[in-house]
Amino acid sequence: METVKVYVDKILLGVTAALFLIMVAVTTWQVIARYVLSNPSTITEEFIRFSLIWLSMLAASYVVGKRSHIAFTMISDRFKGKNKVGLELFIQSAFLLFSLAIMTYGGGKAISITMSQLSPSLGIPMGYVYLSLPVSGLLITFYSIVNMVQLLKKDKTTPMEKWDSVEYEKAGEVL
Amino acid sequence: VLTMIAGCGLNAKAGDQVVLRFAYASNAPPVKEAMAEFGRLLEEKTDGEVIVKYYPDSQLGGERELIELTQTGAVDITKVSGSALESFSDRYSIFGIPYLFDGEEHFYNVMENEEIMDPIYQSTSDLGFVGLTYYDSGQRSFYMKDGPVESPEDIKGKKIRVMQSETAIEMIELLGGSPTPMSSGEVYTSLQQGIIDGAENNEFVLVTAGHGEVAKYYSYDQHTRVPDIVVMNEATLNKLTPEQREAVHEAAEESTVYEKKVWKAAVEKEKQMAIEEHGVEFNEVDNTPFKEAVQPLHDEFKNNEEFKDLYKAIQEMSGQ
Amino acid sequence: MILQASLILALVFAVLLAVGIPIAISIAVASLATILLILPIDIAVFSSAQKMIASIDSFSLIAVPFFILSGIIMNNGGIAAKLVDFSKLLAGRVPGSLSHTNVIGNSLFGSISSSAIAASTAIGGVMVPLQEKEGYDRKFAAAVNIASAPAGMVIPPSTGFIIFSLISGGTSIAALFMGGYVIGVLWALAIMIVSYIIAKKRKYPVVTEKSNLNVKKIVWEAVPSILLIFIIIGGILTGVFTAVEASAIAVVYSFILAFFFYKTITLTQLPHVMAQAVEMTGVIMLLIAASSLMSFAMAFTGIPAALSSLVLGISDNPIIILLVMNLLLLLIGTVMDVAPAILIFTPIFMPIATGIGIDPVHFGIFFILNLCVGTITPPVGTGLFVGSSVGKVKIEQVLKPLLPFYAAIFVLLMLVTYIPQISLFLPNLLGL
Ligand code: NA
Ligand code: NA
Repeated sequence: METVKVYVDKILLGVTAALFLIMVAVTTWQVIARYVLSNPSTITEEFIRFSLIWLSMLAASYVVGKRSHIAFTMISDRFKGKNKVGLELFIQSAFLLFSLAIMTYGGGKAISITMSQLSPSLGIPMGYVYLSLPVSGLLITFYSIVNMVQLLKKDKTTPMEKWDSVEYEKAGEVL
Repeated sequence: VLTMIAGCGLNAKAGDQVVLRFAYASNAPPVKEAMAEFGRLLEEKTDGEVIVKYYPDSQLGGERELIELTQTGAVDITKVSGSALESFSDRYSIFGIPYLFDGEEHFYNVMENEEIMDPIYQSTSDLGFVGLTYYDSGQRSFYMKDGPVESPEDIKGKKIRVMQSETAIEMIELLGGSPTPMSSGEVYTSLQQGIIDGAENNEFVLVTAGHGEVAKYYSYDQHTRVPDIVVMNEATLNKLTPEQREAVHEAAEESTVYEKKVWKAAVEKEKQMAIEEHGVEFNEVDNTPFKEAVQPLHDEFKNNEEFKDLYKAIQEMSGQ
Repeated sequence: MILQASLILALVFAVLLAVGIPIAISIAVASLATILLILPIDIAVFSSAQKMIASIDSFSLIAVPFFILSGIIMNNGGIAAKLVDFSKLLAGRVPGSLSHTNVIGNSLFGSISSSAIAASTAIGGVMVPLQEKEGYDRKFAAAVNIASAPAGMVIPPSTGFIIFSLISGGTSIAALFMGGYVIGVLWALAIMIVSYIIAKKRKYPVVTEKSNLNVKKIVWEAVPSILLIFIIIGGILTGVFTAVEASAIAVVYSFILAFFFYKTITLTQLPHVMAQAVEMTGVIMLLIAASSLMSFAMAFTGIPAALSSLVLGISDNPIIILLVMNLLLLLIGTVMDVAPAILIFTPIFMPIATGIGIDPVHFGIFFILNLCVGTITPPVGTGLFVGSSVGKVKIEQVLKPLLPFYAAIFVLLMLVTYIPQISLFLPNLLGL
């Protein structure tokens, strides 16, 4: 399972990084096109918006794999040993609730009602945009399960205090 | 005990008040008044059995999201631009054709013709919602930064902001301009910075959205009239008693009559404010050369299997 | 119903947050629980899913990941050391010059990297030990670093302003940015004035190594980084590109700088750089998506209207209303991160502010300034935590030396609140 995770990480990073750089290129192109060519396109804006949605959702699931979503750990840091494992399992199950109920089930429902709705510029079904939710939802589910498995394994080998809790540094870096 | 329970049940039944959730995006004051009027009329007609609760000013999301929420029944009623409905039913794209209507009268006649509008209102039925009525959203014309538009010559080479719509882009291209699609939030700054030379909309962009501060020329070429449409979740509509359903339709229609009246007064007020506060100049335009330039767009719809009957029916009502 | 909804929302959120569930997930689950009061489960999860997507379905929002990426490229390019040297030149030989160096460094770095915490770590990491070596009190040095780092959050490019512009219905990003420059510089000045007074009183040594500085080399190395700031402002002001497009230009420029000028990043390091950017993008975008879900849950149950009539019920005097908003925002800022706070509370506070005649640009700056101050106020705050760990001092130890700085920041906050011209004169002057 952990080897699978390594591959999933790699593929996910490859896809998101590529998407990221393409978006930069397209936006830069838009500025250049406005000056060099007078041939604007409705496609760029919609393309970038939809790419941003996919990038954001996939990146969010990548972060679950890296265990870097911001959390307050003041109370949970005081938990030790068995209690700590219990708490961590509870935390991971909140991820499961979120990823399965809202992202996968809710996202699936959104797809089913928007497959016939066409986007104004690209003319693609809006369902393809909403598809980013269940895909990322399932990825988060996968990562949560891997996290849980690792957690139970580590419980036997290393004391829980060593388990890295989510760092505060991550929080501020975003703003 | 039994009678008590039964009694309670009955009471609950009789007092069962239906609350309809009506959400809408940002709107000009007259349209908001009309939506409030709809709720007032509906409550009055049903003796308070049906009341309307409002979620104004994009609180629950933009127009596309509101339509989807209405689709699922999270929201019961919403009012959106006809162009937002294009993605859900291509019937609505007919209103995007420039100079589809030869003027206001033609527009009203078509919008109040059941034979034309009912199929359009019902075209989203399989998606879970239907149209109830329309609201007048006025005409759209060009407004520019550097000078008035008197003929298509004045559009030539100019960067004009358009909505994300293929028809709108094609229209600007046919007029010789350079269409620049962008979201409405970016228009003000882009006008100011000179990223665009002008845009097109109804008069409410001038003071309400503040564009009159940077674009001082509003030219009445009147290229499009896209109606606003009130849509309702069909399951909610079907759950109502026949009397209540009738009341919904009556209230909707009467609110439209009301909206047309307050809309006109509000447009006049907005114009006066634009002149006094920002010194905006308004000018009338002979739109014959504009109509000629956009003919290729008409031909597309005229020759399209799907649209030609609808197009013809609308054109036949011209000049009546 | 409103009371019930508020209680469920607040309680579920507080409990989940307290046990250590990530903020975004806590927000989303609490919101779903609240929506379930009104809607059946299948419609509730659909609405939640839709809100998450709709909130990030925005062209303007690409500026957020783009500025994050350009910041990371610059950061990996090792500009911190170059900016420290450059700041030393600017700080000169006035009393407390090393503190001033730290403040200037934080502001420049915060502007270029769009990240206050990165500034606090990169600049403070160099400057706090250096100050201690020169005989400054370590706790004081840490306090200077903590108090000045958030200035980089208001100095553009600032993701906070971009998100605010979006949520407030298109308040001009360019105008917010220009106002942000003024407030950010005033913030830095306020910290420098306090440092000057304290350094003079304690007779801290003026930096002695000045003669060793190779002025030409320092300027030559720092200027291309600082040029990024001018490309962004210049491009926006001259209308060459929009504030959103500026973010893409920033990425391209920092790539060129790191690959060809500084040669600090090679192709083999690119995956590492991208991984950092993807990770931060994932964190912030999920926060944005979840926060808008909470906005929806609140609007759906009528909480914003109730809150706003509560605030307006206290007084109809604009001065009092602004003060109440100040207090509420500071309180929110103490426990909540800046991005979710903007997303959740703009729809509530904005109508109140415009209702009493506050200019949207002024409000945006006032609003974000408040939330940024919140990141360094106890009991919780990312700025406070990171700053004390960088300075290797306990939070309890750094609070006392922070007091004079808090006082200076509070004065700034009051000035910004009650004198709109401070926020507005530069945007007005530039015709924004
Ligand atoms: Na910044
Ligand atoms: Na705080």
